[in-house]
Amino acid sequence: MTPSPRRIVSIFAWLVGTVLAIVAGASSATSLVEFTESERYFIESHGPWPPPVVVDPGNRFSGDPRAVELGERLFSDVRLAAVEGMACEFCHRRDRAFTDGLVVGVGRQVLARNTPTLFNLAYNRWFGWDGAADSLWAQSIRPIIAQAEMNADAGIVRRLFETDPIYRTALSGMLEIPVGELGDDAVLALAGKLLAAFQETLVTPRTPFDEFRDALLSADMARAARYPLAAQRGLKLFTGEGQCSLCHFGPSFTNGEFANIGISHMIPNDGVDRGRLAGMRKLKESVFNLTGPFNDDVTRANAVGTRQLRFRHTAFGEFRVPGLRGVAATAPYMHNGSLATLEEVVRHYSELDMDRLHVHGGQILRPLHLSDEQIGDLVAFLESLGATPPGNTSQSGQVIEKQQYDGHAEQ
Amino acid sequence: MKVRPWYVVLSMLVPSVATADDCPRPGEGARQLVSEPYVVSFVAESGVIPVGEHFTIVAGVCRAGMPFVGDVQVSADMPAHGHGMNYRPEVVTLGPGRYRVSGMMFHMPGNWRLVFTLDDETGRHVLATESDVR
Amino acid sequence: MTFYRYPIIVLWLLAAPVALAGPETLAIVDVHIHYSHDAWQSLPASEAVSMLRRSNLSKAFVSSSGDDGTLSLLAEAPDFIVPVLRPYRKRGELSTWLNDDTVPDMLRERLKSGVYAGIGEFHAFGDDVELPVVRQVIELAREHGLFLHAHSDADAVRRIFRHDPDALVLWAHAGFEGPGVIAELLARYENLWADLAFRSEHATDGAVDPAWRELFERFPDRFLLGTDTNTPERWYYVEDYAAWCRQWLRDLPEQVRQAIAHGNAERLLATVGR
Ligand code: HEC
Ligand code: HEC
Ligand SMILES: [Zn+2]
Repeated sequence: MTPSPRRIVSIFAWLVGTVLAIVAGASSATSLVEFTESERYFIESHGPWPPPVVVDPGNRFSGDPRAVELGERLFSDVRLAAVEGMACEFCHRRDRAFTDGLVVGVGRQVLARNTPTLFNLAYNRWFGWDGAADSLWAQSIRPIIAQAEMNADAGIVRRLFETDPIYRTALSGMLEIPVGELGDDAVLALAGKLLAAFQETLVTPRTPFDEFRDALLSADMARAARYPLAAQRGLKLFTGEGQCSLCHFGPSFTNGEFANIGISHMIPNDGVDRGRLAGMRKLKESVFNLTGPFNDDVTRANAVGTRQLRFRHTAFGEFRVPGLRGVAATAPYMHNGSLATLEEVVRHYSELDMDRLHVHGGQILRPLHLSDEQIGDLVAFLESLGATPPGNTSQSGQVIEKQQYDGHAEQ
Repeated sequence: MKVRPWYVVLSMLVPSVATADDCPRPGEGARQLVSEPYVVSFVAESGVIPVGEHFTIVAGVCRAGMPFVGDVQVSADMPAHGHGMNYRPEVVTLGPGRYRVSGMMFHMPGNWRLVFTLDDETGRHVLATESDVR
Repeated sequence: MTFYRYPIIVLWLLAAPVALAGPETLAIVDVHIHYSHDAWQSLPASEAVSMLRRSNLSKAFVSSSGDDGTLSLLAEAPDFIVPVLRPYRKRGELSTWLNDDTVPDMLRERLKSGVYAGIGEFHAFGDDVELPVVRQVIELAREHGLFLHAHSDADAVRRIFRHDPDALVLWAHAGFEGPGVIAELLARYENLWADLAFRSEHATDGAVDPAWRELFERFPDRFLLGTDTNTPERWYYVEDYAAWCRQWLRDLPEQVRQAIAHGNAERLLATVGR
């Protein structure tokens, strides 16, 4: 299709970079891995970071500082749950990059899926491992009313908004209709939209990878060479032979869609997790989807994906391609938390069982049979997608204060 | 979505001008698929086809130089990977021989095949093109 | 559920297709089931069979990596399971089998039992068909009067018929080809049948796509249904798949619906003398 000007610039930058690298001589050549034109394309696609701020047209409170503040308050408000001491933050802990560090989430009951991070959600199209929600606000309603999680209902939410003076006062200035007069679904949608306004502000910081990418594109080879060689070699595998970038595409390292990488999706003692297939069904049934009455985008242009979704048998057992920024801080991995470390993840890709993937024709995924050194390189690259070593959250500019819950199950 | 104003003007003019070559063209930068007597010209509404984002195509379809009358369907797939799109595009008729195709999405970079299927009283006609989308 | 073993009831089932034609009960033969070793571990044979029955299937064509999986299901439900002999001993042989010259002898040995209706599902694309192992498999099918369940592209299908113009081929996934190519091959080869496993583009929300409708109506006696349980998890999909098929089949004329749901599978079985 039409060659993008961005692309022409990238080829130009590459030419300049090559010339500079040659001119710079042997010393810098040894500290820089050589990338093919295609690898460079993918490297470029993984930025810039941070991306421009986006506003969700389906959420009229998106970007509204009052809503961000209320949403943040709601996020750690235990009165939003009908379960002693439970709040969003109980599972999405600030000190753990908004995950819980557990294999699968634990609310009133043990859940079937791993608790994902809440960073960089503003750039997503689908939410949840199965994409059962098409907006961040709709996704935020689910845990409030899920019996296995917070087990609350619209009545509890309405009462909270009416009785707490902070919510009451702020909301009276933001709504045309008093909260007390909103219907049940509208109250839930309101809570979801406030929570979403807050979560949209959670963005991972710039990383060593971003420094490298920008240096490479601007042909600043001395700066680029500061990126460790192991990470560079890992990046080459990621964007090249490994074909990881095809799915983990773009600035957030996800194309936002779904795939099956051969992870078992049996639920212990409880049948099977249908993944995207169930997600599509739930999405269509939900009153909160973007084709419904609570979408604030009157044009409904943002509902195109929901309207035009195509049923596929392959959706059974597919899960959303997770973004990889800050991934070192969010172990364990996969929709069911079945892989404990990044090394295990890379080994999974290295020794893929092809019979589990129903493929036809050219395959994107195939066992890479990596050496231990290559595995180390890929892990080094994945770790470079976080600003600081795992466990240290001072990296995240938006993380406000730490709050711990007693009795939280550690594993 | 950006709609270029000159395009809107052009598309309003087309139906009223009846010349021998009355084939609607979606505008500058359009690609053409020809399978005589059928011609499809199409362009992404925003100018470029993005990767991993929804986009809209505007297309002009003609038969023997006149606006096509019949049913138009659009699909796309990646022949090398054996998969199609995760979305089912919707084709809306804008006027004689002019169509707007929404809900397209190429969820990976690489070689995509774009297929226009035209149905008229003479049968089914398939026009396809492949291109490297980046 | 041994009542299926009573011939009288089976006869009654065959004699009353119209009574059974409601959407939930429309008899379906699923021709693309695998019961491979990782499935045996999580799903015992008796449970596997009852999962198939729960989906209201009237028969299931089963092939497994390795074949012992198929035989264990057959022992559980001899009238219900149609065994198809897979040339893979275990998972992971999907491309190595082509050059494994011990495969034909293994098949010969197993074919002695005479229980099989076909050989497959195997993977062979393009000129893979020229390899000695694949040639011998085609030959074995001819000798024993069996069909070949081939996961192949159009080129490979053409080559199979070039080697044996009388071959019976059940074309897995209709080769993931579009209606145009499928029509071309079905018109050219009378003994070609196509299963729709993993295909979803022919129907949306229960409505059959016009190009596919044309195809189904032009070749009503050549299409079959199949889930393809290539992982243990997909056993749970058999039920969803049958329900999904019953939905879009409703959009076809009665005769075409019955044929695709089960009639064509019965006819294929009759063709191989079963
Ligand atoms: C009991 C633990 C638990 C609680 C409490 C909880 N979550 Fe979650 N959260 C999860 C799990 C598990 C998932 C994955 C769910 C899935 O994919 O089906 C998830 C997923 C999400 C996602 C989707 C993220 C993505 O990448 O798509 C968002 C957003 C989210 N939760 C927000 C919230 C909010 C807001 C609250 C409070 C109203 C909350 N969660 C309460 C466990 C929890
Ligand atoms: C076909 C698309 C695809 C390709 C190619 C791919 N991935 Fe993934 N990746 C996924 C999906 C889908 C998941 C989640 C799977 C699940 O939960 O069952 C995932 C999960 C991951 C995770 C875990 C993230 C988390 O938060 O749990 C990491 C790390 C990862 N992939 C790295 C890689 C690397 C490295 C490569 C290349 C060797 C790669 N991926 C190639 C689709 C892909
Ligand atoms: Zn197959």
